[in-house]
Amino acid sequence: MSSNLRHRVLNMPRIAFASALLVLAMTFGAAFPAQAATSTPAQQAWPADAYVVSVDGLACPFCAYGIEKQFSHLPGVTGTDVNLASGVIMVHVKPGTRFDQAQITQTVKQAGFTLKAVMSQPAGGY
Amino acid sequence: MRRIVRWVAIFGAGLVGLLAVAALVIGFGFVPSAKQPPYRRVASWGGPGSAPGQFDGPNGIAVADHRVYVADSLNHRIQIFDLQGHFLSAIAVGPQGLLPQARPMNLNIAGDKLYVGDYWNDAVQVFTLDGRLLRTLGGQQGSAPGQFRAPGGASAEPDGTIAVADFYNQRVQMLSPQGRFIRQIGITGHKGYVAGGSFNYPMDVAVSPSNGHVYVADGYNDRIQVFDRDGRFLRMWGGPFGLHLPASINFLGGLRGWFRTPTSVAIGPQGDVFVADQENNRIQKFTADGRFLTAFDQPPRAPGYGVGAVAVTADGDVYVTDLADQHVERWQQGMPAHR
Repeated sequence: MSSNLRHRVLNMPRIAFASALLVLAMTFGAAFPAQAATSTPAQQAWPADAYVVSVDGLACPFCAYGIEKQFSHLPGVTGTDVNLASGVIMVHVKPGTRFDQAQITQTVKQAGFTLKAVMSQPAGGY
Repeated sequence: MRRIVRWVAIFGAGLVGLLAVAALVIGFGFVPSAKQPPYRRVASWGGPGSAPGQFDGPNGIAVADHRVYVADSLNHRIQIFDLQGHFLSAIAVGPQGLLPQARPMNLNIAGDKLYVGDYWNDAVQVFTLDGRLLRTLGGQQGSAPGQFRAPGGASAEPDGTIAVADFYNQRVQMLSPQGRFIRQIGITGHKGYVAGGSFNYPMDVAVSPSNGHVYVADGYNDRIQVFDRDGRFLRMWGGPFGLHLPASINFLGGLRGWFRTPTSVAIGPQGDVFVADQENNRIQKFTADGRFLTAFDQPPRAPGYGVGAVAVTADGDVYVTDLADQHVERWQQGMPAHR
């Protein structure tokens, strides 16, 4: 567990912006549906500075802390920002870290949620 | 035209169905009336931040011996105040304090000990009321007897037996004061939605000091369950017969006596039960056997949940944490709003 995890639950401008981007991406098909990706044989992994993860059922601090805790167990994760209102988690990672869809789906599932969509934030940020 | 008629018919049938459900609910007495006057907020303190007296995620609260203990989750500490809200001291991370990265959630006081559910470290810690660490139970995530997965809260029977709301393991564990496993209620890792004794993410426990009955905030089942000191199911409430309704149809969860995610439970001096009904932003008060007495709330100024946890003093004053405004509130029954 990195000691510099950032814990911010509500109303982070970056999360709000990322959420808007995620919605746009979902609208235009840039984000992949969870079911389709998990059935993709290649299980492609994407390098990123952060992953923006959207889940179903995120409602209370117990939920937020639970999913934050699960992501903290993944190697390379440096912090998470959780937005309860939008159900979006921004997972910050060390440069060069790669996660595939299956890892993220499994992590979300272990935290008790269902993955809706995920997109990666490239190096350099927005 | 035919399509419009069909949609109007469907809409009308749905409306009639909803009205029928509402009539059944009210007719069968599932919406009780208040039996006691409401409470009024008489004081509050705190605000967002990390300085003494400020909070970042006050998810737990307990009161005893003229002191208020607040789990300041994201600041990794427990703050201690007097009953008027003056900061006294804090239990911090350290060899004789909380574990590294501690995320204390619900707090409970039983006898002369403070029980802390550490969600992040999968541990239960026991302190004296002066903040001296007595014992750490668990500490390694797991599902074996005596291990925890994100305990939301813990308390103790009069004989010292510890009850733990083992959140992700979907069970309540009963442990000896030294942490030896005695029994569990619920099936490990298995969510149960209907039968008493099964859980859907239990978040907190409270123990009645008079008879040792264990009250469990069965969070996502939107109900309270009660067990005797041997773990036998006694009763449950929250909606019709305490049966879980899927969130998609729990549109009536805001009615009196119903819940939307009860996160914290506390026992009052007369044995009454106080429940933090988080998604409804209110505290509800019941008799020990689950009859609705009254409810009170005050919408938070900031976005988010106005209710995190609840505790009751020996005098009957109620202390509530407000997650949205990051502060603590003190409520009294039948008193003027300001004094």
